[in-house]
Amino acid sequence: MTKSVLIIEDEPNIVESLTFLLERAGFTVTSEIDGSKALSVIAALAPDVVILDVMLPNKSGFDILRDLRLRGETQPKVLMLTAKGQARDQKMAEDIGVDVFMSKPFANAEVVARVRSLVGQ
Amino acid sequence: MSGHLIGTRIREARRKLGLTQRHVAASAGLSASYLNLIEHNRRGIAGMRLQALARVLNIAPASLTEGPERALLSELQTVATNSAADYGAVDAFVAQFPIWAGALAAISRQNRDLREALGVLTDRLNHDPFLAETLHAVLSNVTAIRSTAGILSTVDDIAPDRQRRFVRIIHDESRRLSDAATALSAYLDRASESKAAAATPEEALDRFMERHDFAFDALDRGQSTLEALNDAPELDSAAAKTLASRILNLYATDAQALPLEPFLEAAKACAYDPFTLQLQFGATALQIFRRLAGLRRNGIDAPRFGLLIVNAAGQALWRKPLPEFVLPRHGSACTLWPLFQAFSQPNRPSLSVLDMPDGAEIYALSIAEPVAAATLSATPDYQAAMLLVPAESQPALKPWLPQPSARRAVGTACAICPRHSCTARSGAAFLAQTASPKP
Repeated sequence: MTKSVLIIEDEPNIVESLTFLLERAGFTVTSEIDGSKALSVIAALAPDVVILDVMLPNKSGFDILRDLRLRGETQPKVLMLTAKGQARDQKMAEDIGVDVFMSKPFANAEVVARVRSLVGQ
Repeated sequence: MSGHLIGTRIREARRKLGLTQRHVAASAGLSASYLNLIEHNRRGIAGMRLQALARVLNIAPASLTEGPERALLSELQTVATNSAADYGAVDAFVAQFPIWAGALAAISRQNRDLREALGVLTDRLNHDPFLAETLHAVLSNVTAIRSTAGILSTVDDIAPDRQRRFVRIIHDESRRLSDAATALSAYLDRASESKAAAATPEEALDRFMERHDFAFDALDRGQSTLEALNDAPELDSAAAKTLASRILNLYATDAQALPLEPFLEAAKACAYDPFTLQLQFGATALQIFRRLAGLRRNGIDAPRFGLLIVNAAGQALWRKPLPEFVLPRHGSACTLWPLFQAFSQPNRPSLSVLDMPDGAEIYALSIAEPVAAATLSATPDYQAAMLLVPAESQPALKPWLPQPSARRAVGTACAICPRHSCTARSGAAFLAQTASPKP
């Protein structure tokens, strides 16, 4: 069964390149640019992996992750992708419950490899 | 707490006079044993007895009862709190070693000022909303460019319309990156030119000297340096004022030895030849260099000179940069500057043409000379100076500034120098290796 990825990112050009890479790797890819809609989209689509930016309009990636982990439903794997790559940001993300923390700019091959590992490929 | 130190101060005053307890006690109408108790702060003293002791010790009674300024005690108590020093011994330390106590307090205050300045700079980087937003935008631009370029360079079977779209993304993100970098550069330039307090006393001094362009008409007219310091809003700390005071005192000394009008007239007559001027006025090379560098001002159309004077440790004592030759404020300068090589052959001037990474050419006249005359008992300290002349000024100075055949490739500092293959490089560059500098 094809695994799905939801990209929550407000930079359309980054979304376009990630979509290309992940579709080419065999994933079904959707995206959302508005942080305030992230949780409802996750609930509706039930993706296997969420690629989550931190600096989003209306709601930060940390808050989205926190609210997501507080839900008792089936949890997607979360790869946090952020320009705020300091150690304290990674620690905060790990404390909240992120699965993978990556800094921007990223290597294409590494993002794809990390998503694959999150779904057990 | 200061009152408990009366006995300690009495003891110190007695010792300074070389008097015994027996002598002082007898002169003041006390027993030696009672004076001993007083000196060890086990008995108090006041009124007539205190005045009698003060008379014998030939000091004002107030100097025994009034301790040092509260600020000094407070500063040293802070030092004791933050270290393993005995907090309770601060008062005694101040009483016994007032000069050392003052020096330690001054160092502690300076350390705190520097930490605060560092905090301001760090805070600016971490919390300035414009900086944070701009840096985030830059990283996003770079991410999009890197990822898209990576796809184009590694994937062969991209549909043509997709390929065109990716190329367009690179174009658009590159333009946004360029705009963000330009805005960031302009912002940092404005921040450095702002009237806000300088981060360090040295930066405050630089601003003060830049505003005056190293020329002080008032000092040339004989005004005191204290008066010159009255018009110094940039000097916003005691440390900055101290640094400026040293520079201005030296300037005033030079102005007295080489009065402006005769010096200017002589300089014009010899095409600003420092060697001729040195012989004519009997001055040191460094004095002549300083006067030449400060000649140009409103009403005086002299050539542009830059000047750097350092001591043997490489510390800058006089910094007048040129737009074409930036002098680093922090960290080490380029080791290839002839300035540093001058120390190995003191009193021998050398002329070099410096080839800067951006293509500018600067003439550099360097010399090291002793600060004071040598004596049999002491090795003199040396200072080295590098008088800088932009290439455009050379023709007017040709009589004594020939065009050497060789040029020396130098930089400003290793950290920001693009000459990555330089054999004299002593540190990593902040700048990534990009296009080569001018051949």
